[in-house]
Amino acid sequence: MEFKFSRKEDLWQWAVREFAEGELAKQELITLDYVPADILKKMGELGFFSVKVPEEYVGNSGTWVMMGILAEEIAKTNIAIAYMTMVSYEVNLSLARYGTEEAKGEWLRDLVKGNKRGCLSVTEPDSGVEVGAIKTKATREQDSYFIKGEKSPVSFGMQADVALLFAKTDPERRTTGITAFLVPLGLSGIMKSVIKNMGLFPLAPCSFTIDNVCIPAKYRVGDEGEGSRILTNMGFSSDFHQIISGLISLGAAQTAMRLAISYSKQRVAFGQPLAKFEAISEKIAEDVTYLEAARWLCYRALALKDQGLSNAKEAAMCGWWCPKVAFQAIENALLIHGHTGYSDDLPLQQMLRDIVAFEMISGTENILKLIVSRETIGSVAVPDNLSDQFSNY
Amino acid sequence: MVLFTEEQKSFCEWVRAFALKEFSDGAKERAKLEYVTPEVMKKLAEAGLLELGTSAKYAKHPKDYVTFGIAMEEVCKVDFTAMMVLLIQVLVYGLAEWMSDELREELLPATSAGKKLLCFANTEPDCGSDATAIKTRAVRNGNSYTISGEKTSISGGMQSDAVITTARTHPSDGAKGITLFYVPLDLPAVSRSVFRDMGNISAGRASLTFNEVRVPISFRIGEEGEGFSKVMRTFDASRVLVGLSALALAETSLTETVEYVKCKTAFSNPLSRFEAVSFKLAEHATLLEAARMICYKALKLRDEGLPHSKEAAMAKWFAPKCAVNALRDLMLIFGHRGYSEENPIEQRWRDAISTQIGDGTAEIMKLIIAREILGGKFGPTM
Repeated sequence: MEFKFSRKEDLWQWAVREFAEGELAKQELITLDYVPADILKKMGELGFFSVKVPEEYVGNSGTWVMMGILAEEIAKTNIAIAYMTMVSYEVNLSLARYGTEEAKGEWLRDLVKGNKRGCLSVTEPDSGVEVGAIKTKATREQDSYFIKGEKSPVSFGMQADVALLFAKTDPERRTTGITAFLVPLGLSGIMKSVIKNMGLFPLAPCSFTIDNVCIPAKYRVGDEGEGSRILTNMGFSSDFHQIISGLISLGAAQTAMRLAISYSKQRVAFGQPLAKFEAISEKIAEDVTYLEAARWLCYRALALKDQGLSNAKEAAMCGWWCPKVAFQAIENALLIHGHTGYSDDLPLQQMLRDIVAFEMISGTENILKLIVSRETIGSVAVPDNLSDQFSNY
Repeated sequence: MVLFTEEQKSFCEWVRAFALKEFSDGAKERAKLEYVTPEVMKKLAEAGLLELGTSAKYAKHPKDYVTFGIAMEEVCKVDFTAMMVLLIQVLVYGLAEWMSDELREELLPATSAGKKLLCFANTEPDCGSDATAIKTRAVRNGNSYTISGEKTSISGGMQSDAVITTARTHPSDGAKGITLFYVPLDLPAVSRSVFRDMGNISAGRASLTFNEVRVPISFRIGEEGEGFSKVMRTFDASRVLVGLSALALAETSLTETVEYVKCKTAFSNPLSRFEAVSFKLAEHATLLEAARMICYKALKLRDEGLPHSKEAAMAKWFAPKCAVNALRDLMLIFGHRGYSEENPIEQRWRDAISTQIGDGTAEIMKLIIAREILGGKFGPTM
């Protein structure tokens, strides 16, 4: 049993860390409502979006663990950009695996190089975790599909050039009626309106109103009815999404702990550094324990994936537990800083506002626990009305 | 055991209706302003809610602290920006008897009319919880004092007309060297700078720098060296009221969430049918109610003239903690809707975190409780 990265993974970690500490350390990036183009391009040049993409599309071989490292290291300085890398992989790898050659030829290289931006669009006003309830319709007419419906919220929707969008080709069916499409967002008939959130500002989420937008059939990604499988494979109900969003939370929390540890040594109260008080040092000791445990849970789930083994249980554990322990660590770090943690002089309050979103980013905690229950107790633990989405794995 | 007397019950009904009528409109927008609006202060004043805890003879409402707590809870359920204005009364009236006649006559009518806003300053860049470690100096020359130093994290500091501040009149005398002063904030020797906070924005938290500020001797409150003990006496009330203000944020959000989970469906059922959702609501309803009871118990003990420092400390760490935890979970029940600015819950969660920090951290409260239950000899030393 070896708890360490391979040589290649070590080098990758070093490269990502150097980039993150250099280019992403600027505080103002956190409150922008977009990810600057030069940063995206730089990341593309460094090959940050290339892992597991076919070579002909400027991809490289690499491990799932490397994607975890990428997310964790970037999240230590910028949570939203780490989130962007996760979404990029979801779009790019879904396209690489399921897309037509024409669609890949037109889009994939630019997406991987960071010249173009993708986003993932599943959620609708009346369907969040319940994917089978989406209503956006795609109707086939000869070599085209006409798409109509409303999507909200779509992270990165305002700045994206293209969306991997999920719509019903068979409205009679639930999860099996869903199909994925590549939808260029410059098309007329797509109206965007921005949603203002309490955190993760660079995501600039929005809603799309899609009024009979025509896209060529070559932009269908996968077969009709295969959409739900794509989501489970590489989308927001995937093990990838659950693990990576876990590592993003943990990356941020490690930075918060680092700040709390150094503050506890500098700040003096009652004639002693805060670190001398058990109320402070125990909190730090507890949180670093949780973070360490959670981090290895994530990397184990990724290592299982690299070995081609099942990781559904471990991934779902990451999905609900990591954001929770990360949130708690950041909350404690903020409170250890007292009133100074509450203002924007320090990044802690923004981290807390950002990371709280991760407690619902892979579906709610309840849904993820349901997967863990199913994997440990068995399908008897899945309520009947949820079985179409949670029993067919 | 009766929680509220008949008189308190009818006050509760009245103030609840008053708050809903006067403060419902625009509350969400006001929470984003960097000050408390003059309209809010005026309405509070006209309703007699800025004379709570006063010894004024003709005050409209009963003077007990349970009544004060009810006012805090009910008003903050609708508009949290009123919290700071309501809270400062504890200090103003708590210190009134030690003010010079001149100061008292200038101050009390103006504050109870909502025409003057005060704030309180003790925290300094190098001392917060360690409250007696302050360095701000006040030096007497004849009939005036010259005050120099920096105060920080002062709620209401940007907006207030004046501050009641602690300053050291004796350089090395711990708590006994601390004296209270009234300092108008429009003096040229005072400068202020604002914090940009994650919540409770209307409190306009500030740093105040006193650069040889001269105040007359009549602006000293109490005798030299009495500052700390006098202020401490008011903390047992203000801590509970802060707790109730936090609970108010969570209680309103709980009510809204209960309605939401009945309407919002997932997998063909209202969310309320899922135990993962409904039991969470049940848990938070329990904790909020328990915290609320500690708050009112502390206020009742205060009204009866009985010791209540322990209960006040319990209220101050437990109520904000319960409120913040509840708000976070309620926000998550709303899913992505809860995360957007459309929904007031995210703002309330951010506001509530401030109540965990101001007026004494959880650690200080636990220190007080530990000393009370263990006895001074066995409690933690500090």
